[in-house]
Amino acid sequence: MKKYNAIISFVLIIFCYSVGYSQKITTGIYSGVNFSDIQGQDFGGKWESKPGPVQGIYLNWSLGRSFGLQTGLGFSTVYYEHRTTYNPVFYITPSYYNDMMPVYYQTIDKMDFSFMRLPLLLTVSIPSSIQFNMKAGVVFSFLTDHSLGSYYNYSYSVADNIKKNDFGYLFSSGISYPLGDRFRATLNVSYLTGRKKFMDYSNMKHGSSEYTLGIEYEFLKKNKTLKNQNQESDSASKRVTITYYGGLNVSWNPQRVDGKKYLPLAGPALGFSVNIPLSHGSSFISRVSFVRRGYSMKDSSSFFYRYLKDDKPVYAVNTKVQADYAIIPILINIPLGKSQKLYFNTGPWLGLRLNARNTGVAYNVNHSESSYTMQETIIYDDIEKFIKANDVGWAFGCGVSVPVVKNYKVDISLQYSISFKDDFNSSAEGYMQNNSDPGSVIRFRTISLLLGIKIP
Amino acid sequence: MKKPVLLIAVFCIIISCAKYPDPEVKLVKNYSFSFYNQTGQKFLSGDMVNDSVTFYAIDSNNPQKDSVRVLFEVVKGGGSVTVPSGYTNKSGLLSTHWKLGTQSFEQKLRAITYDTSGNYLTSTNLTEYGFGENVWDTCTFSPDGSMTGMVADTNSRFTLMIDNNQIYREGARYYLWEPVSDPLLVSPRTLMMDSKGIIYVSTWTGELVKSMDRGNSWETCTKPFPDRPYYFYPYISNDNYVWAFAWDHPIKYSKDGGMTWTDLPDGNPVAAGGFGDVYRLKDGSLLYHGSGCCSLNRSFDNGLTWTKIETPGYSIKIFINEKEEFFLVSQGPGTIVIYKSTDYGQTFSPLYSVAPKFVTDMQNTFNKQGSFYYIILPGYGILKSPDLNTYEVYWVNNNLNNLFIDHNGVLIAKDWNMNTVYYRNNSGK
Repeated sequence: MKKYNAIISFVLIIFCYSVGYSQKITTGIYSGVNFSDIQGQDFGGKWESKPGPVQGIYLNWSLGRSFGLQTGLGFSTVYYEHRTTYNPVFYITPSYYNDMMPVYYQTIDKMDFSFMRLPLLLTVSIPSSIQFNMKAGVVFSFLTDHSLGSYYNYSYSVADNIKKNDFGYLFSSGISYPLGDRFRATLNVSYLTGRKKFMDYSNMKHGSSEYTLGIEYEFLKKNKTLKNQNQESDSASKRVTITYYGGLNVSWNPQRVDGKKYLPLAGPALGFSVNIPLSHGSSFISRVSFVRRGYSMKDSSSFFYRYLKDDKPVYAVNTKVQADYAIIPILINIPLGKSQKLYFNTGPWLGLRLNARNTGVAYNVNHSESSYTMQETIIYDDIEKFIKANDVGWAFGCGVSVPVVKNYKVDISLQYSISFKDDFNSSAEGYMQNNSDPGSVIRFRTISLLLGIKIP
Repeated sequence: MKKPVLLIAVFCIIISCAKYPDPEVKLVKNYSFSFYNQTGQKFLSGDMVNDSVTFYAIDSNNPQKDSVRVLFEVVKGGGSVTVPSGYTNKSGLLSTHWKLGTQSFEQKLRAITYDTSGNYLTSTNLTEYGFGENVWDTCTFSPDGSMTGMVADTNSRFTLMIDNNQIYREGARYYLWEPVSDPLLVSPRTLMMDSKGIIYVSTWTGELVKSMDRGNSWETCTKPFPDRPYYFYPYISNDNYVWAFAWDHPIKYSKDGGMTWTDLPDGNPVAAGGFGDVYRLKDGSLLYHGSGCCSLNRSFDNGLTWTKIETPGYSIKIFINEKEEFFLVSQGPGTIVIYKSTDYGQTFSPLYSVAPKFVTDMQNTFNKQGSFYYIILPGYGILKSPDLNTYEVYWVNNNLNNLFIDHNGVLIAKDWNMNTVYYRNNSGK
């Protein structure tokens, strides 16, 4: 009940906020491509990210200078492709590849789903010459067609078990560029994750990222309104800035098992932040970062994704555990010095795990008096079930912001963040744990070096 | 200012897109190792093993390119090799010469292999056997490990051995045995030889065949118990009579090499003693001791009647030497005692006693080779004596059960477990 009260209160605030500003209705069409990113899995193997079509129309109701509501009708087809090497009879977990040595099958199994989608999104726009926008909300999906690979058809007897509709979340950000008084070109990047398991006896949920181009048309807008808005936009830019940034982050898991330590993993970071000035030069920063966190392993282990306390580790592993997150921090930014070029910020963050995988290579050596064999296992396993879906932590950062041209600034920052939660989902291992094994704990530590462009 | 933003975005997208190979399991190295030489071959200590020793190592994933470094190391026996290390050729072969040492019977040559990067692969052993001099060599080979009988002729220089179902002839070396085949030798069971060198073989079906030419040809004797399809117990006495024992028939003897048989009278007291040893004394009387206790009897009418001779303890074996002195083996409480009688059994005096691990039937108890007697006492070991009056412990081995001596004088002791024999070559031949 608290959740609904919060939503209602939030909507009322938006309405009240919008009262003093001109309103507009925007419509648009878009088309693009989605890349499948299935959520959840039943066992290891690689889910290939396959492209599929996406198109739709939308209607946006601006509730004021920055906020709005959007709905529309979308059509998309998502193609999933699963690749693995396993013994179909005895296959248990990725770590048991070798134990089931006798027969291996290289399998490729495909399935696709076509949807009609109805989104309901809250939009946030930052007016500037290149307008930046963010969207988040829910999506109702209705299955219009599908086909299944033979393995899933056989294993799950799913002919009548596919869910006909889905409910999920959509996050989107993008830019729009004016093509005239009423037309704008749009570029959007979205991530969509379904919340319902789409077939019985399976843990899989729909997921995809979408990249779309579109044309947007504004109507119910008078020239006066436009003029005023541009003026307001200039005014607003003095208060709110956007920083696009990218960089490199290094993450690690400080836990040790039997003296074996997890090694750091380097990954990309990409995102944007909205800087809302407060008093005395300080500001409030909200950010959406897409970061890759994880660790690497280079030792002996019986599992590919973690060290196991085991007297007889099966493999020499050289693997990586990579988990992609959407990190949303809320930071207080405090300038240092008179020039206010240097700054320090800190605050909590919320992380949403988008996907997780285990990659690399493992070697297994067997020798007797008469033979020596070295078996190489190329590993790619989706391991989302082993990594918890969300994470919370605290971030500390510092940096320097240097003006370059006009009001644009180059922003160089260093961020350090810690996780409060254990991100390892040990319950997913179930019977695989043994008595002597203490299990695994993942508490990511991350250092990020970011280079950004601050746009007024 | 738009271009830098786009460049950063493109760069971040590119580095975030990583192409990963599909899951796969494959054998990247698959070596096979072996010695071309047969393992378990028998040689004399100090011999070369075959003409050469050849090691084979190849990676079936890359047979033409992947040479293997091989380090030959003698790990047991103290031998030596002429080529201690090298690389396999394109056929995967590397040869060396291995001279066996003298430090142990079982000798091992180890090939330690490394790939061309120096990574250790594995170790492969080649085990051969080197028979030494004046040591007991323990063998569990077939067929000699299960031998049950042996005849040897030092004059004609041959030895035959039986392992319950097959007769073998000793080959070029005393540990090499070659099967003797003949249509008449069907399921042979026992092997004996008289003083003239005639070899008798009894079978599991109650037949008796003999060879008068050292086992080269065989002829059938008259079946001692024609109505009995089962085996019997034969014995050759020192007067070359052939004796036949069967628990449900009268004792029989043949004085013409098994062609005709004479029954001892029914109710003869020696029948109760079971099969055993028969001696013809110089005065023409017969002396008999069965395999059972206290069954020493003497007959002065060629076996028609018998007179029992009292013996000390629980007598189970008798031996008569050239002087017709009696040497009696008796069991006592936890002991085996050797007694001697110089008055044809009227009195016995103890000579030597031992405490065996177990007691059982006595078989080839008294064996003479050269100037010495070797006395096997099952459950204890072997005694050595020059005259049967004084004894020395020759080898204590509680697992021994029987003893044979081949025509070269090699002692071959039999373990009770029926798959082990112990060779001792005292002659150095």
